[in-house]
Amino acid sequence: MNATVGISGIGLIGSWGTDLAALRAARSDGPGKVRLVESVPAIDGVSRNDMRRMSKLARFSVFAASRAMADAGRAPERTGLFMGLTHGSTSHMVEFHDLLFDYGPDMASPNSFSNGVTNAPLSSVSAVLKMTCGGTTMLGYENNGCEVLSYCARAIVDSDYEACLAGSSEEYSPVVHDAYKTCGWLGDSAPPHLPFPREEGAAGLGISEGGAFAVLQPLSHFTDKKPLCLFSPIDLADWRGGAGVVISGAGAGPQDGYELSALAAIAKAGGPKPALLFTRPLFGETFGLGAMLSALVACDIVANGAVYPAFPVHPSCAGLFETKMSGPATSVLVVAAARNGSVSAGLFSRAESAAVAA
Amino acid sequence: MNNNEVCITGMGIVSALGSGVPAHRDALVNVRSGLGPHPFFEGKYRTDIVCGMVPREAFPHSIEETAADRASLLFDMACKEALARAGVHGPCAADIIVGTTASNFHGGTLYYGQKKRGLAPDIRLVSGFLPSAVADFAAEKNRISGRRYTLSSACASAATAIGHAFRLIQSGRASMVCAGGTEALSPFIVAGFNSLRLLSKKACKPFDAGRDGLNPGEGAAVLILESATAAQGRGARPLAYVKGLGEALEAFHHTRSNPDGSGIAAALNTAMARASWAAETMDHVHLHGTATVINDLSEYNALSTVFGDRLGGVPVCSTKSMTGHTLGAAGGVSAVLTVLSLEAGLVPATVFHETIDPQFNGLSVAAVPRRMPLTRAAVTSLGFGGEVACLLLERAAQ
Repeated sequence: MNATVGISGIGLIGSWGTDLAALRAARSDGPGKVRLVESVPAIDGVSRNDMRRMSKLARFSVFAASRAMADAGRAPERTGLFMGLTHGSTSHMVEFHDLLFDYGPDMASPNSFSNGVTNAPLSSVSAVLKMTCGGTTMLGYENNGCEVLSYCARAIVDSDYEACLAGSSEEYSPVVHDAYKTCGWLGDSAPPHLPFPREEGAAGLGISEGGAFAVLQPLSHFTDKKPLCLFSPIDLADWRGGAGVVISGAGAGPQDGYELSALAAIAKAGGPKPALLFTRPLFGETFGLGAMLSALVACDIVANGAVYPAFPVHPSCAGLFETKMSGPATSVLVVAAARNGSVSAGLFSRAESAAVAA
Repeated sequence: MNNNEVCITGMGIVSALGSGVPAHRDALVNVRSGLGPHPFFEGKYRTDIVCGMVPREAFPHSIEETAADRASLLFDMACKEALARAGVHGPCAADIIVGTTASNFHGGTLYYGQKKRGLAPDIRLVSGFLPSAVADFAAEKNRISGRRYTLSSACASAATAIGHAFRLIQSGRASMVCAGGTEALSPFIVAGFNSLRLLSKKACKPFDAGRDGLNPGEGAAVLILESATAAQGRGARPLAYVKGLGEALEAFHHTRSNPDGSGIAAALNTAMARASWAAETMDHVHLHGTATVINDLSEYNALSTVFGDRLGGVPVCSTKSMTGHTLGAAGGVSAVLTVLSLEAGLVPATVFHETIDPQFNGLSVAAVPRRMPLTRAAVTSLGFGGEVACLLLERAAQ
């Protein structure tokens, strides 16, 4: 099924800043370094007290979602709201459990409980932006951002929603970091997974945090203005090649073996040899958010003619792909694999005009 | 049978009432509650909470012997039963949609507790941080090879999962989906609801003048949803049909539903409009009915808006006083019990209900089961953050 939709607005926040230009210039601080968002800028209509009561995860979500809706110039009516998360608000969970373990159930914090519930970020976005149409939080792994975009695109084409605000967020948690290190997934020593794009013997990418949202609308909405870009969910079994750039979700984590298999399948599809980009060194390991950030990078490439830097490529990929972008591209395939082997992909392409989009 | 229809061809359920559809059918007919006291917390904080705990003997093997989180085990049990009842044996290419509020918190709590006590934490509990692990576990154990989704809409999670499964099948994006919800009771949940002052110290009394809060519960419920074409193709008999999903976000409050019921009414009206159901044709509504002061008021106001003068002609029930509030699994539990109601022509009793709240003028709720022909029913499901999902179910021809 062709489920092409237009992306009409985006919003993002991370340790690098709050726009694509800053993301383009971002670089990892080195293997294993954690990068945190220092502060979230003020959001129209949200008091400082309300902001303080929200989890970091909710703040990232509300900021990026507000930016995306403003960028799209879209009112909240008839717009579905979907969020992808890998972990909930772990900071509030830890706070809640500390009080519970140390002082007993009667001292546990109701604010930490309500913020620790997994759908709290979506609830905050809904409340701030007055979005009442429906939606849900989709939980998943490293490919989750791409899953959410694909799900929303298909739901729009099937008329379940007139439009969708789709996003993902992740907040850094020392507890989750420690747990993953215990599993050997992210650590100071080489994880037992395919070590690319990092160098042999180096640590995995550092964990980071942030939020990213996009507004998806049907092509019929773009009669008098051009979308930023077009988006189509892709089943890799049907992929026949043709993208100028492929963005991989590899990040020196447990998803990498599946990423390599997916890249091999993409290379086999034929067509001109695309450039292969690894974007996680730009923003670190952000789990489900990573695929959403990759999507916004793809949007930047096709909409703004941006050229992103190359990072080292696993030797087995080197002959199959160009190892850097030689110039602007009009189509980008984002592939994202998860630690459980599920693989998502989406094609971002340039909309030359409103008429073409519609 | 219309080929665009979405059939329920199998069901599985586990709750405080026991494991399996027969145990739940028996509880509906014989009016049995699974609520009882259960100890929570450690040391000087240890206290008994009235809740709906799945009996230990309901588990097929010792839960200590498995690495899976309790919520994963519960979902797997319900999934196995649902597949077997649908006549699906061996590998299948179905999608899985799991709805859950806090399935990860049980393992996460245990992991963090070990860390805080200075013990080497059990790394098997790391999956407890990851709600998506439930779907992976069910897929592996039941050899289900389709896509896996995990949805979290707080206590509306399972109804949302079933509703999205309905949409996937209706639009042709899937031909078979195992959809439902799961939740395991944990100190996090009990302490959390305690912190919000929402727990009743007694068995809860939905829609009663003396209601004073909810009883937490645990369990899982799974429906096998198929397109009519797929079901016909393999000779499966529909148990009932899913006819619609209505959803809403109230944009009101993190933990309280809007007392005016506008979000629930909007969701129910949307579902009925899309299914072309007139309010006059609704036979029964299985309400969320948590027995908190605000929840029950919200639902009453919503039903008054939707049904108006006909409100008294639509018998309603809440089964939270049988199972406890199973949170993310609640909509699935309600859906399974509603299919049983449609099959049996029986509106379930709202156990422990004694005196209707005088605010709820005209609401048709009773402490005893009522026998009557039922064709069309709705399930309402509400969650923190104002998430609402309403399902429409229709009886299949016998």
